[in-house]
Amino acid sequence: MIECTNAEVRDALPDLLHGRLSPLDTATMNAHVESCAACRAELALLREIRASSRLVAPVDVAKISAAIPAYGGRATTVEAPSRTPAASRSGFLRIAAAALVLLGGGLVWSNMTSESKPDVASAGASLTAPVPGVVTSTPNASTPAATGSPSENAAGSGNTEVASLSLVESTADLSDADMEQLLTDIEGMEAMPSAEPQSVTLTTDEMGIDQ
Amino acid sequence: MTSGNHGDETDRDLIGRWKAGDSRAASLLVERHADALARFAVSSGERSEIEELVQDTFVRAFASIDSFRGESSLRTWLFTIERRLMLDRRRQERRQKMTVPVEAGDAVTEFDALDSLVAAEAESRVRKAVNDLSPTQREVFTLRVEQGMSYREIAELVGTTEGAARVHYHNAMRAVKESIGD
Repeated sequence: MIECTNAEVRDALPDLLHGRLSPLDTATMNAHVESCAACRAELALLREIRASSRLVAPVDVAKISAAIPAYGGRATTVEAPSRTPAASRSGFLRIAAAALVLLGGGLVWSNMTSESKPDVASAGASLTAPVPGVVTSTPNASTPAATGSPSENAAGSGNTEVASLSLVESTADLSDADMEQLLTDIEGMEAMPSAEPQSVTLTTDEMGIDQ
Repeated sequence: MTSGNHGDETDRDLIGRWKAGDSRAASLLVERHADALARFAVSSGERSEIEELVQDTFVRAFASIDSFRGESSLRTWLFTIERRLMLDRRRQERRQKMTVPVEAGDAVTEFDALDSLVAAEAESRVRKAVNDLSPTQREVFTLRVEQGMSYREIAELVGTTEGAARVHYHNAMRAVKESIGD
């Protein structure tokens, strides 16, 4: 068995076979192979081995392609820091609840500005009526506990002052169960009629709030 | 070789198109690499269910395409997946052989067209010489000769160094020459 003494050339024979060399290197290698019987024999053997490996029946491309699922990954753009599924769900609930409370409050206010002047006391009472997730505060009232029952946060019995509403803090403090209850309660509120707006005062019973 | 460029579009381009919803791009990638995967499986000693192995390789690859960082070529990455599947398959076969007693009259597993073709070509002298190599030598040798991979790519695929891959290749070449009486 004769082997070429040029290890570098022998090393590059598979690259020559597969056309992986630069044009200059290819020309250099070809020139060497022409003058070296050992390299000619080895290159011929490599060709035979490669040809024998091609005796494999082609696979069914269509069948394989059909088995490939659709891409279901994320976009390749930079994403916000991932959150746990529970945290994401909780955050969504808080945003949804806050939006619904604001909508409900807005609808009450719109009726307050209708031609029939509202009763200030009842308007104040409606605004100060305990709403789950809504923290009401009056100048002399202490800040309610973060997770206390909403009814405990009622801004003083009989206090007709319009209380300020602070939504964000309370929804952030509610548990997932409370949030879901809040959404259910808000969804249960009677919808405003599309006809001539009327003064509406919702009682706690109508709002489905347990005291 | 960081990405194949056998046609107008590179592997990376086709992957991007597939991610965007073009299923035809997946077919083109399968078309481009399926035969090489089949040959790799055969040269690694697989004799049955080659097509299933190739299909499993592609399904796994596309399912985890986001983990392909492009540091190696797509083909090398596919070979890595297929290699892992072949190792799993052999482990499973060994376990089954240990637990399932072979009884007289057990039917031979079914052959498909690919298997019979593989059986026929295995008779050639050079094929026999390659098949007689040790598993590591055969793997390195066939990746170098049949797939045209560089020593760096081979080292990455089989989990060794470039130097060791080079030694395996030359030892394998010497053994093949001796086997065929060259």
